[in-house]
Amino acid sequence: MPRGSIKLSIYNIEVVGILFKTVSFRFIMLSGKYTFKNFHFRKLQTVKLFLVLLLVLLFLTPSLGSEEEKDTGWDQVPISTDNDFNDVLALNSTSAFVIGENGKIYHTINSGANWSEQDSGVILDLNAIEFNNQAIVVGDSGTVLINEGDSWIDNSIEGAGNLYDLSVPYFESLTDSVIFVSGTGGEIWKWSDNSWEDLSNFTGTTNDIYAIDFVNENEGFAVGADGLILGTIDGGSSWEMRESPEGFRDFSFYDVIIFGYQGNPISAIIVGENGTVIQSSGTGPTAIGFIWKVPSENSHPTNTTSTINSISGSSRFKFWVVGDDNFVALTEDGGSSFYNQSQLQNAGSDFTGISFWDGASGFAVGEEGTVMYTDREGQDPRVLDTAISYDTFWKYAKYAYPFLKEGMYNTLKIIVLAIFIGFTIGVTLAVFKTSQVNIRIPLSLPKEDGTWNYFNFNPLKFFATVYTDIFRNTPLLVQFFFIYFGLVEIGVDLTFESILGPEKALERAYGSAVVALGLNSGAYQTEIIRSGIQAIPSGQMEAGRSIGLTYLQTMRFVVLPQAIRIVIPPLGNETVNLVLNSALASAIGFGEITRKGRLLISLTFETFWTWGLVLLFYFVITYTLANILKYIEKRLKIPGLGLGGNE
Amino acid sequence: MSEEEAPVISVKNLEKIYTGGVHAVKGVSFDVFPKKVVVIIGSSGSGKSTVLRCINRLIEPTEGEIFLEDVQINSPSTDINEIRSEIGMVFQSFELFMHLKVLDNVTLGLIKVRGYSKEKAEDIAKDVLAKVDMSEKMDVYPGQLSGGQKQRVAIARSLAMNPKVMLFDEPTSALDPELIGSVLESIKSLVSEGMTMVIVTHEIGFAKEVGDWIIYMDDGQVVEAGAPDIIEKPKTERMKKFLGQILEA
Repeated sequence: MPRGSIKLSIYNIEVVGILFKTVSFRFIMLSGKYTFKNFHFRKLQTVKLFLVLLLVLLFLTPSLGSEEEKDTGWDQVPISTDNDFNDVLALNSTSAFVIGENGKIYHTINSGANWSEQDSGVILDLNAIEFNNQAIVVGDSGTVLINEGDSWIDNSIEGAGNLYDLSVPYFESLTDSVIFVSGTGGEIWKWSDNSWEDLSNFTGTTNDIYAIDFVNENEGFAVGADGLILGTIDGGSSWEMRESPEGFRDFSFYDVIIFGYQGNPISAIIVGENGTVIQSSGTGPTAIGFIWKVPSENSHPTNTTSTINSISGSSRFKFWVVGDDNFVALTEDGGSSFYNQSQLQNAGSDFTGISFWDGASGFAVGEEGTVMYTDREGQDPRVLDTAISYDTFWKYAKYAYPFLKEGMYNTLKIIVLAIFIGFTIGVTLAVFKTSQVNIRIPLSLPKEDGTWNYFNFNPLKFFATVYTDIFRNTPLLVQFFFIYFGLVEIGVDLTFESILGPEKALERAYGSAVVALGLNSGAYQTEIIRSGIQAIPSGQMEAGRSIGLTYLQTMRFVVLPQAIRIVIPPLGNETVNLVLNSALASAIGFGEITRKGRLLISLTFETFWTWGLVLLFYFVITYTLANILKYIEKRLKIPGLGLGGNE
Repeated sequence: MSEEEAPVISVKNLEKIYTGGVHAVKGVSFDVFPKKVVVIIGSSGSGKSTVLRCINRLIEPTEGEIFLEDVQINSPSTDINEIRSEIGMVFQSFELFMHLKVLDNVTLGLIKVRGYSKEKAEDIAKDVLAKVDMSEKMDVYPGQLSGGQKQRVAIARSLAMNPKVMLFDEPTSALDPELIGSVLESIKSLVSEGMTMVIVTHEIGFAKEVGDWIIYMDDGQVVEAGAPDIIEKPKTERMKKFLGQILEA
């Protein structure tokens, strides 16, 4: 009985065996040794088809909803009313004011368990509330109300339009205070010396001003419709239009907040339409507010297109934003990344206001009486404190699948670009390495017979050799660290913002991973392609030159097409290596499969299943890739060229 | 030869010293006149291939001058790629481009060097392939051809460029004896059309038949040169000995 058929009977029983043997068989094929001639190819095709189908299914299946299980740590504390709420003010960790349509003001002292309605004395819509010694509310038609115990004192502005926001930089008593309010059609009013002063003529705009904030009596910002940003440093006597970042000029801004230290502004954040969060930071009185940009490597850290309406936080690093379509999100790194705390059980509602007392407890309000309270940062306690346990593999796989799918997508994102970069470098440097450029460097004065002792120096070859030696003789992990942590310090822009523009700029970890893998693989591919070029008989170059082609033309049209064909098998091995090496990108924090696996383990502690699934995902990628390359090799095969001989 | 016409190729005092000090060619001079065939014979290592390769500068001459008509080939100011496209070369080991079909082998130079359109190049290529009797194999890869067929395609590839002179570097040495005939036929038909040629060969009978001028080289020098009858009546001992060895083999 031939050896092959014994093996086949084993394959028939063991599916796992087939998978394993097939892949090793595949790699033997790739390395150019054609063995197992009597292998049943039809069976092989079935397995191949199965795996390709698996890959397709992985991509096509909808995300199985871990979403409905999400509890973000917010408790619903609704007020029984149909009125929409427009703003909220947390007075301490358990008490708050909520204001809204038709002059409604509600108060709680027990974390929203009970609400008492207060008499505002108006039935106009109330739009914003602020606190500085006293709570102050603004609303439509110039309404301004000052809190006094359980009642509200009317201090409305005669002749003003609808007021959208206010800022109270100084308040001792009503007669000794400074209040700024902003509103419709570019209106800004200032309360000082016991009277209202109309500053609207100084704003130079008729856009609605939706938000205003002052860090002290002089310095403040106002933002509004169509990318409006105004700044003042003299208490509102003059306003200067500030430029919105490119790409944000058509969006309206709905809230602004200035984080200061001892009355000096340090950082300001603006939020608005299309999930916009932009920031300006710096120190000194005028340093902030001139340059606004997204405070993240990621061009769209909020990851939403919903309008963001309000912002509140405990520091310039830790703040929450809320907006339309249930959007609630927390950042703990100044807006670089946001944790989504959206409320799915309440789908369809828009949030209009948020107010935190400290870094843990706060309130959020929205349409139709929606109020939420948290005393745990809005974080899901299960995520924070306990591991999720699963009794069956399928339940676990369902939970893990969206993570791994995203990781797989990210891995593919790296390797496609890295293979491309690596191949480009490989071809270029291989041509450098085989080039004939010689610079003669004399080693001494001419000898007596007039000839020179000289040393032939080939700068192209020298460069390529140094490059490949460095990348092949240092650990790839250290190359990752050097590129990700090292290059940024000398100002190398790995987000490629200058090339791609701020909109399309890459995540820095992504850019670094692609560059590191591409450069490293380029070194190996150089050596592979060089060996291919050197395997082509020198007569081919002579023949090309003899019909008048230049060196580079001969390289391009004659030598390289043949050289690359014969090195496709080792190039295939190298690309498989590249995929496996991409796991190291997890070390610089890029969310590819391995990193997602570690994240899953930190959430579930299911190490066996997680790493098992991660392995399976890698296997699917590399196996598919190996087959694609095999197919390419077959397609490009030419009779009489390479190892196959005449067929 | 007492020709009135100016030579197509003129080699004057050619010297070649390889890196490493081997003195391969020691002061060789000869002229190739229009429509004439110069045959270089000699034993292996006598420098005849080196001379041939110096003519289109695949090997860089150390000393001396080589002219194609009135252009000095080995002057630094000469565009060597242009010169090479005027000089056809046929190699001992064919050196067809293995990844290109026969037709594309012939059109590559026409398209990339001459800048012809694909259609024009293919028309020319079909003509020259017909001349060497290879029309039927236009769409196969060189790997599927026999040695003799490969060499005829190689001749067609050079011929397509419409060169002023063609160089043959032992065109039949790598062929099985039964395949030599067809290649020699193709070369003879070029001779009858008046193509100027320099042929390095071991085929003494063929040399005598097509050669207008025979050069016998040994140890990097021209030992004897003259009309084909010098093969019948060699004057020098060295040539006699060489011819004797050839005839024995």
